[in-house]
Amino acid sequence: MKNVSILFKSIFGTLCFLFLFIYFIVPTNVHAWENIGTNQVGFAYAEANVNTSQTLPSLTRTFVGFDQPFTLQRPINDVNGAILSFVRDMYFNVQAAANLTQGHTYVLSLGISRPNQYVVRELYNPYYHNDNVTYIDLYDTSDGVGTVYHVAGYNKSWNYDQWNNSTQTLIDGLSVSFTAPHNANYIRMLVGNRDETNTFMYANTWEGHTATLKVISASLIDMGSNSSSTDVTNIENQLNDINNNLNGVSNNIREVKDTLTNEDYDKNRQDTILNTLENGWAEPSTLVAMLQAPLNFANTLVTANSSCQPITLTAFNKSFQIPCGTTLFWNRQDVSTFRLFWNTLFGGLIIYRVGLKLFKVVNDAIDPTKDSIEGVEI
Amino acid sequence: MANAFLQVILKLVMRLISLLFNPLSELIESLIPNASDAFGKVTGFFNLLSQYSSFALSYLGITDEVISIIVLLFVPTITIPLAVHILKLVVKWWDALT
Repeated sequence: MKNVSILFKSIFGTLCFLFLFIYFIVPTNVHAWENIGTNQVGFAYAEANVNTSQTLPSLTRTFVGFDQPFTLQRPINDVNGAILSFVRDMYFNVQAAANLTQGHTYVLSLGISRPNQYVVRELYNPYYHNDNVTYIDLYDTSDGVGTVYHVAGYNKSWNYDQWNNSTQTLIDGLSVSFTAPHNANYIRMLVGNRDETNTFMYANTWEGHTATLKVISASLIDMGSNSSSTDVTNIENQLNDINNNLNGVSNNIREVKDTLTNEDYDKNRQDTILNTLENGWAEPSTLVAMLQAPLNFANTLVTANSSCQPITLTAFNKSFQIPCGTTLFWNRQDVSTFRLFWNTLFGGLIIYRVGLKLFKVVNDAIDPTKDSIEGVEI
Repeated sequence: MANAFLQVILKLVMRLISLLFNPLSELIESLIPNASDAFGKVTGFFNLLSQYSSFALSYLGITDEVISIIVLLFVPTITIPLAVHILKLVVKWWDALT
């Protein structure tokens, strides 16, 4: 029996250690795979790269957007370790299988979902950041070599200088037009996002945030060989409008999600179920009421805070009312932090106690030398 | 949400107890009327506890979530013996009938 106990304690300890190890030490940069959309002449995917030293992915791969924990690059700390400033780069590679004809003008449009809680931000190509130009690479693999043609036609970037503490993401339309210098069957473009600040308060506020950068829509439109610059500009603007309007759709989806996860769920529905359970049966007899009494008491405790009634005492023809503790002290705004700390401390001890209790119950249940559980002989 | 879930479980268990024991209780009360008084005293004690427990808990400053965890700790203590007793009772009746 002692060996079994030691075995279970060892397993429990190992699981706790593994949990702590995974939670605090192992970086979470596992990527999911997803198709981000289709377009007129091919379909595109995007890949998330976590650090800037990663080599370009091969053309045969398909790629994804990503969620990653907050990653600080080049953080500057003070003597106490507080983060004073940082730069964070995120970028991914967007590529499509597409048949492009030499001399034709194309409009490449991406809808990019990006963080909305950072101060200075820009969308850029990290490989060509120095000259602030985002190159598009066309590949022709029909020659067996995979010749690359750079299309350096794009120098637009978004620079933000704003503070937004929301955890929302925004969708940006990124449309680029170019003329294909050669026939090609692949198109690729790097999209990067840079968050940086030198403000102490913001830098520390961001620590621990999760950032998301992903392509949620992609399209490549063939404008032919005789399109005017006005036509191309109009198409670019329209595509940007479409992508920017996705923000409205995204906001609506977020509202639905917030509704679903709201703790203030359908209270009436809950009350109906509880009332059915409570009143849908005949009144219990005294023996049943006695058996139910401990459970009834437990049920009262569950709603203790909301059901507290002040106690009224009468003495010398005067009434004295003793208010509830929540009214008197705990619901005050200036003790909310202390209450959180107190509950965390108290709750932690309770969870520890629950763990020990459950361990004992399971231990007793599997003990072949005992034929009782929770003090009851089986 | 945890509170609501726990409440439903508790209510459900109470209704199951009522379903199983009401006929037996009716029989005992009709045969031994004084017994119901004794049962009533026990129930009254718990009612008294319930009346002042919320007031006392409000001074501890713990939230409903933490209280739920505490209640969760006692739910197996209360329900497992009850379930075992009921199972044993059913087995005894089965043996008696067969």
